[in-house]
Amino acid sequence: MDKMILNLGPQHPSTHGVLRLQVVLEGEHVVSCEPDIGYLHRGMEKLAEAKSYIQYLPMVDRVDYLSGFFYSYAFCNAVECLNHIEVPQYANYVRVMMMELNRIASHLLWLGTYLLDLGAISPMFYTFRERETILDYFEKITGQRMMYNYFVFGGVRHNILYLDNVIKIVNNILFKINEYENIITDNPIFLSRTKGIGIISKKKALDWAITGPNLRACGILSDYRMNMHIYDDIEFDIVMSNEGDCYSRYIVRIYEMRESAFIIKQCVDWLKSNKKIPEPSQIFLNNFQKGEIYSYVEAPRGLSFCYLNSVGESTPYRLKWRTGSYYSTQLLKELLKGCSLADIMAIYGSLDVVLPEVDR
Amino acid sequence: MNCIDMVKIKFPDIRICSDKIETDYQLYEILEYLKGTYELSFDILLTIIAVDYSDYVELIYPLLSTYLNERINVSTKVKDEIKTVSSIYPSAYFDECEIYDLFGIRFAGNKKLKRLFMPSSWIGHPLKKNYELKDTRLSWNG
Repeated sequence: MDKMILNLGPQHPSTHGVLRLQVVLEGEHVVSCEPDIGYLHRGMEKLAEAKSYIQYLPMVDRVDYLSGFFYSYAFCNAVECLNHIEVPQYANYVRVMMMELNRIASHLLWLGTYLLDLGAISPMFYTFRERETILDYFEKITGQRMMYNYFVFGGVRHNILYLDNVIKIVNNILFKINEYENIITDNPIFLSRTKGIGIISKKKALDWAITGPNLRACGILSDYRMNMHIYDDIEFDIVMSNEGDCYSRYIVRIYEMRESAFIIKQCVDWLKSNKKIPEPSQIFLNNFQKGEIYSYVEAPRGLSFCYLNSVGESTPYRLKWRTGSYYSTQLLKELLKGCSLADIMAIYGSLDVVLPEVDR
Repeated sequence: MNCIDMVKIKFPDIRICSDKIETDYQLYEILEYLKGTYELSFDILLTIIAVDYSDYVELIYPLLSTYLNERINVSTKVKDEIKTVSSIYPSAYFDECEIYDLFGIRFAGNKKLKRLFMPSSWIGHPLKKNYELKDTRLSWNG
């Protein structure tokens, strides 16, 4: 049979960004696939070398606009470790709470758009309705819906938190997740589109450096929150699944949202029972230390880190972002071989790739 | 015995600098050892970091062991060419392309090295310290 080259993207609606896949087809089946990235390259790492630490701080939310808090945390934590700035415990709990709310918002968006990719329109409206409540809360606290610029060196920008709102939002979302499960989890169409499709074996996942929920869906226990000091006093379970197919990636994310809600409730309890810190003042950095720092964070799309190399100047000498989606995109080369054309978007969607994070 | 000590016994030539292993010529062997040894099994190469120090480029390979839940960094200095590690860690392919694109380091053995972010016709390597930022091809420089 003749081979046909099909060009998917860069403006394909299901890629949620600008990704080009060069797919070679034999009939309905994919022979090979070559992902082509770089359409959204903004030079984040070069910009860091030109801007001072404070000037670069609003930029880091833009690395991944769906989970800005995580990257903010990674950068702030790197600068704090480098300059030995102590962060109050209260601020740490606020950070954890914000990050977990952000994780739920990010997973909700994934859930809606993934179902949309598979052809179901209505789940997107439901998940966006709940995501909206979280974004409204973020807007109330930080003044922004997506690019928060809320974490600062040494703490958080404001400590007016409206904790009762958080409890209301979380309880509502926990209730709605059950509703989503009623619609989606046992839906025969959803099952036939996702069960046994796009299976990642353990070896393949490790070889291609997959992290986060995608790795845990392959049955490998790896969650960086176990090692992060801000999660030390917080109890949570790590969600895992064994099959490694699209369906198990869905299950892992659904249960991860419940775990995040559980973490948020613990944070709210702690914050309510402890005294507020005084309004944090911006820490001005005068003496920049020399050194190299690796600041890791478990983002919704995998293990991310910020490598910061300082030579004692007011700007970083080198800053490097490690992001989860970058490696998920690379995996497509292996994963799509042999699958059918209709499954490309089912597999690609299940990996939860966000393109700004890939190109940086 | 921790991981760094085990590597030190096997490869006495390495230097240990806080949490980083520095090597001059044994990078490939060390990575092979770290991944292949059962007690260590550093199975994920998280990324490759390149830092330009004008007269050489330092490459750092942060590894993660899901088995031990530990991390280790291996680094080496390179002028313009180094052997690829994509036969040990296939995920290195994109990282090597990125470093070739932004730093101009060639990876011997990586057959499909291409520019990943910049257009294929681009001249120069943007993350080098001597890169001229006043490039007329950039829209804001007119």
